[in-house]
Amino acid sequence: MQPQVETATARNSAQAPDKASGQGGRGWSYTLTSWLGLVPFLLFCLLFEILPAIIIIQGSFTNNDTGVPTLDNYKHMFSQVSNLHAFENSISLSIVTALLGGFIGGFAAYSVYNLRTGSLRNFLVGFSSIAANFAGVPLAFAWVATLGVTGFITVAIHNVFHVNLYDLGFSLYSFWGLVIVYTYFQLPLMILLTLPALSALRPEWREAATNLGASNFTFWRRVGLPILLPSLIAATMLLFANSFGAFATAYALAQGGINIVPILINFVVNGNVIIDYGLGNALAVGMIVILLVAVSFYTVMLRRVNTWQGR
Amino acid sequence: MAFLELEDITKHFGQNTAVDHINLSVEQGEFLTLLGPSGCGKTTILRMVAGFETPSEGNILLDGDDITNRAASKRPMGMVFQSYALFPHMTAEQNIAFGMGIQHKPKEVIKRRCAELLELVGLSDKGRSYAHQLSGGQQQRVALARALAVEPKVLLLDEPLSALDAKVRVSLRNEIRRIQQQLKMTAIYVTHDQEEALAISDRIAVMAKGRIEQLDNPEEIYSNPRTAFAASFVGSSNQFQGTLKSVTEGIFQADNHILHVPIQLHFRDGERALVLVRPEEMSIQLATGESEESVTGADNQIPGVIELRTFLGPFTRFHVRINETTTLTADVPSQQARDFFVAQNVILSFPPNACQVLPLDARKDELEKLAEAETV
Amino acid sequence: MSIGPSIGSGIAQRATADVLTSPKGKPAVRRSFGIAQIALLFVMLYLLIPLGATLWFGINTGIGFDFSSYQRIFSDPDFSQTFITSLELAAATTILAVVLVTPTAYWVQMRIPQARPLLDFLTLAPFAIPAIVLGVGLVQEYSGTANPLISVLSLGLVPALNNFNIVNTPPLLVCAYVIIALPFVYRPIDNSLRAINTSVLTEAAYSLGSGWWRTFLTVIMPNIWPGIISAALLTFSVVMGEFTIAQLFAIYTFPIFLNNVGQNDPHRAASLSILSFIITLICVLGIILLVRRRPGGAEATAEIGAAK
Repeated sequence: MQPQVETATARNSAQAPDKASGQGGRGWSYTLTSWLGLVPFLLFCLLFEILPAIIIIQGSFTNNDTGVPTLDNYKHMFSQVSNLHAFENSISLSIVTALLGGFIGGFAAYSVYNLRTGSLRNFLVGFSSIAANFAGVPLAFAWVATLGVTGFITVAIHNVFHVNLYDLGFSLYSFWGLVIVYTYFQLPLMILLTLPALSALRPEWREAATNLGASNFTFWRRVGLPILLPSLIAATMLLFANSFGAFATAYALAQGGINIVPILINFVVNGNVIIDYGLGNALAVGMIVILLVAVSFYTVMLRRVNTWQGR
Repeated sequence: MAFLELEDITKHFGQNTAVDHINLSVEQGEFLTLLGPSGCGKTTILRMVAGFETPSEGNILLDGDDITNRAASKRPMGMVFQSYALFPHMTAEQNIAFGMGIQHKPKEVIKRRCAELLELVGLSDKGRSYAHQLSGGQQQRVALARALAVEPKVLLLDEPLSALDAKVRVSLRNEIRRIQQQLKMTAIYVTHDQEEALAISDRIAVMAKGRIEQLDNPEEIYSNPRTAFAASFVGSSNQFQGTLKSVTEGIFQADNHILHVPIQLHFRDGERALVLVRPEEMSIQLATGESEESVTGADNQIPGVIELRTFLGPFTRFHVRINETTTLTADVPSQQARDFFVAQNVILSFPPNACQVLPLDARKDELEKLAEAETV
Repeated sequence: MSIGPSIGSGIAQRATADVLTSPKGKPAVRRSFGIAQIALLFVMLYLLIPLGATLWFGINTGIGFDFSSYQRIFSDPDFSQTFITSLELAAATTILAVVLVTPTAYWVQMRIPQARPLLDFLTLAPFAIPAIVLGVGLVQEYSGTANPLISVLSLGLVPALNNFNIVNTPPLLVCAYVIIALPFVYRPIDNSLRAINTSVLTEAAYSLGSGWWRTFLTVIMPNIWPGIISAALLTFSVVMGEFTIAQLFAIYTFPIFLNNVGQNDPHRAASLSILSFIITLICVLGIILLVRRRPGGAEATAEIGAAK
């Protein structure tokens, strides 16, 4: 008699969780109201984040005047050399500043991480935060004040070395000038991105490696760097995206003079010459695609980091 | 000269003296445990032996060599950490192979050793797994194999079981002991769990506040604790403070009770002392109506009232109030405890040689609080 | 007062939030002056020299040192007008962003953790949709021209909104800014929620009779203050400096003013840039000071995490 009752109850309790949709037995109405609570946020994102992206994608495949679906915008984008140059410039600008920032910033981050005095470390972290956020229009003018034609450094070099940078062909308002300016916020950004990754390097790993006979070099080569690598790659991806999407700095620096994709989009959409939303949309889609690649890499690397950290 | 000698080892951290002039000799093949509450210095000693901390004073000698100032990576020690510390980007096999790679062992040798060690710790089929795919107990076993792979002269274990579930802890500690005995490896083990220490050690060093309270084998430490701290940290005990009336006849007076204790020739008449009785030495019987305690027969007898009865499986614990300020604890096998309940008048009895007599130490109160804090 | 994603995406802001609100680890301290220290020195010099140069440039008109540039700046009516406009936009964005995201993050944490990947995606997407792209999209979306696809997907809301002719208006700008701010508003708040034992606290409050809103306002919010402060200050700093979309919408904000000034008078622009820097500095310092002082805040919770 007794055993039968017990097994019956056991069977019932085993069934109950299956009925619920993973809510601990609370059923679908609970889940429905749960999703309802998200509606304000989801609606907001839909109206102001998702739909703009969709309309851009749609617009890129549409003839702006007639409303007819077409691939002309893309043909236009790929046929004009200046458009392709814009992408070339944007991509190389972003790669160069990402690598520069990544490399130098990575080492600098390690140095900050190892500082003995907490207050100095905190100061440097604070300063990096400020510098990473100091971008856009004022940064452009700050660099004009530094390396512009009558900038502080330009003048100083002239006075000390009797050499005029601009006579030598240097110009702040060129690709390499932009590299110099962008590096200003990429360097501290790398520090900010790498510090948490370094903090996640548990001291026991180092102690275990040392205990097993590893020298400083061996530890970094076989344990430290391999563990850090996904984080470093993720950070570099973000640096790339950061640089690729930047507009205001380049605009303030040279108005339309530098040919990168954001400037180009602004030119065909907001400029004084021609308004071509079709081309603008196609260019924008190009940007989104490239950025999606970078952000996907970032996400994948982050997932690897999280798995190894056991999160 | 013992295999590992710690001579007058001291460590200061700023104003704080974590380790206070410790002298310790570890024999080859011995399993020595450093046991104590957090902050007693046990981990610091271990880390100094490993080379992660430098002693402020003193020397460390291994097999005759002075290794006090030798770099950690050059010491023939293997360390197992509380948090396992497996390299997350390497498989179990690669973790174990790591040290051997640094020693430039040939590939075939490494492969063979890895397989042997995996089998030794019972994880032959987990060689290709990563740390995040293994349970805590499995990770620790890999960590053990990794430490053994470099053929260390001493194995150091820093609270290796603290992060694990109770059941895993018990089985893994037996494994560790088995492997240590099989390999005849010298081991220093750090823990705050006294049951663990008692179960697997050859000798235990009970520590508090940077000093060794007692260094002995487990049975001795349990049955003959030399200080009040050792008595209360390892197992629990009932304590009576009072005066030794007669050392030759073994008569001890605490409050209103006269206790018969073994002859204490190293004490003097009239000296203050502390008497300890383990709860499992106490037997319990119903009071027959006499309210006077009687010192009849050899046993000590103390009347009281049961205040709390806790069933603990194999035995039942009784808290018996004997006066306004004191309760005694008696652990009775549950079979015999069936007829006793709260609010009954009972008599606790225990033989004289169940009494451990200790000098009343000035530091006693201080350390008592330490021990209490641990158990709470 | 340009700061932050007038460069495009909130990547720098999110990184700032992460670092300033995360528990401080204790590294093994190493000595030596090697390549890392040289790199750090280089970075510090690289960051400080332009600041010094700008300061110098702003007060040095080439003839002599002239502090009148600051005087001229403050007496310019455009300055006060655009500054106030930017302040209002910043305040509105900050409030809207925090009010929208915080209850949502809490709701997801407690009721539908399975929505977390969706939220992660939505708050990461702005990295792939920088300001210039977002602006171009919004201008087209709310331009008023009929678009059947959009009308359907938006459940009829876009045509409804278009009745109010909101294209290129400040309210739309605020909404755009909220989207830009999502990555670095959601992240610190989400981190804070994870750091405190949200589910346990909530269940304790429920068991004592507290309802959802009361729990949220009186139990949860006071404990996630560091996250909210970081989110708010970063949003504020970013909106004060946003140029791209404001320019697309032709709304006269402070960064627009700064750019106009700069194209004609780099010296005055230099002084304004210093001002911008100081605003950013105040915001970041605000985060540092307010976040650190919370008792049982980031540090305490770090211990709990580490013990696991």
